[in-house]
Amino acid sequence: MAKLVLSRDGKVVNHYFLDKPSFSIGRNADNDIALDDAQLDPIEFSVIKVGNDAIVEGATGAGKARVNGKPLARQILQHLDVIDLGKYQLRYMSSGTVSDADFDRTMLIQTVRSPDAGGAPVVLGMGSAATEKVKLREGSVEFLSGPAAWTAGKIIPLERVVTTFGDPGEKLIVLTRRPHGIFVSHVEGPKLPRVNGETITSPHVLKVGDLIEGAGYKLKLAS
Amino acid sequence: MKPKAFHFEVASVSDRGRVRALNEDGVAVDGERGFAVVTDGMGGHRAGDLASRMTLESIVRRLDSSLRQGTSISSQWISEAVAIANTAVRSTAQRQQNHSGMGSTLAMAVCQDQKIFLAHVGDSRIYRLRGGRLELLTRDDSIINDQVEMGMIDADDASDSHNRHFVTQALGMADKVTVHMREETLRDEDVYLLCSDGLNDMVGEQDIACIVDALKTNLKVTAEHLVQLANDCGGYDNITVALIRVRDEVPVVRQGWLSRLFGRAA
Repeated sequence: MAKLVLSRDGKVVNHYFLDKPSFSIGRNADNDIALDDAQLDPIEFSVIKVGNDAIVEGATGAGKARVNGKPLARQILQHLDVIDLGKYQLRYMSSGTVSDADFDRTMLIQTVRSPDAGGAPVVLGMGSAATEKVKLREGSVEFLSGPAAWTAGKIIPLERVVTTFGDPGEKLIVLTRRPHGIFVSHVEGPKLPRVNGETITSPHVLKVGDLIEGAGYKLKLAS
Repeated sequence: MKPKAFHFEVASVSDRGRVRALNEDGVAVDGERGFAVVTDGMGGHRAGDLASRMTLESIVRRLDSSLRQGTSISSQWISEAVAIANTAVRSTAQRQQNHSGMGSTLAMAVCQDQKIFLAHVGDSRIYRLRGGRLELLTRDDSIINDQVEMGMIDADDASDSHNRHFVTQALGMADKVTVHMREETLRDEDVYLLCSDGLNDMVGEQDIACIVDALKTNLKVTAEHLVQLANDCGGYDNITVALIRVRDEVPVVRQGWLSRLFGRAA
């Protein structure tokens, strides 16, 4: 279960399991987590549980709390996020996220009837690991020759995930950025592209300096 | 004015992804009649695979016979087809202990005359590329979507949520299922993309738009690129894409230079 770990001056003071729908944090004694700090608002912020998520929300919008150094805005807490309150810090620990994640995300673990009789059941699944942000290989191509004379010698960066050369519907080749390299492949047209003079029949990974011919273009992978 | 006769190019790819042991997605496309169906199963012990397959087969069988008989597709037709598939999955789930709790999402697109009928249940999606712009035409049946709509969280934060995969509806999960439907007018060069969440969870919509727009003249290459990118981004789930490209002219069968030269098929 997810919890908030309270610390003061670097020392852990308490653990609060997020075992109810909402938690209030602030100076007032009737808060779920009451902190003796006159600098804080009576209710500084709340944590609301929705399924596997814990969402933080400032009570007034003018509080002092900061999440990972940024002013607290309504947001979903991520494992190991730190909420800084000046004297106190709260660290969010969520065991059900990364390490315990079952990638089999659609596996149903529970079916709960909603309170109104005959209501559709609510389907609960397992959470999954957060989408991994990948880095695609960067690169640029130099036009050696092409249908338009002005392009000769021009170098263009490959900004998008795919960059096509040719006439769609007639003849077309594509350069594809992947994590481990830039690939050239045939999209359509009677002639297959060539790399350094060799015809390629399947997607082909390029090296800097490779000469690509296809769809009426002659290109060089410049970087 | 004589109504336009549209024809359709289609392609599909379904992939296990990089992490899961089984592919529990299903897909069917038919270019001649212009339809596509994607299903995404859930439930352990291979039950998800069964639910997804049953849903797919039930819908496709019905589509097949109705279109052959010239039946008009309507929202009523779709509701009935989905209700029948739902009952089939549900009764199997209830009969067998190890299949209890199984279910399947559904996304389907059926072209008829000047229209395309779109329907979905769960978090499988339908997008359309029109004039270079990608538009999401469906609204996921998911907790996270409800939260975004209630203003509890920002749409930008939704992809960070651990609730992304909590679907609120699937076939086989209840006696009744609500199908979301819409009807659109067919337009030359529109591309419809149906996908399981294994695509849109991994690949941003900008990249989906870029790939579909750049490569749509070869739908197979488009589908392969989408799936490849989802795998490159982690491939945490099964990935399925189905594409329909709408054309209002009969495709020219391009002849090789030899046949052009000699004026006959080589």
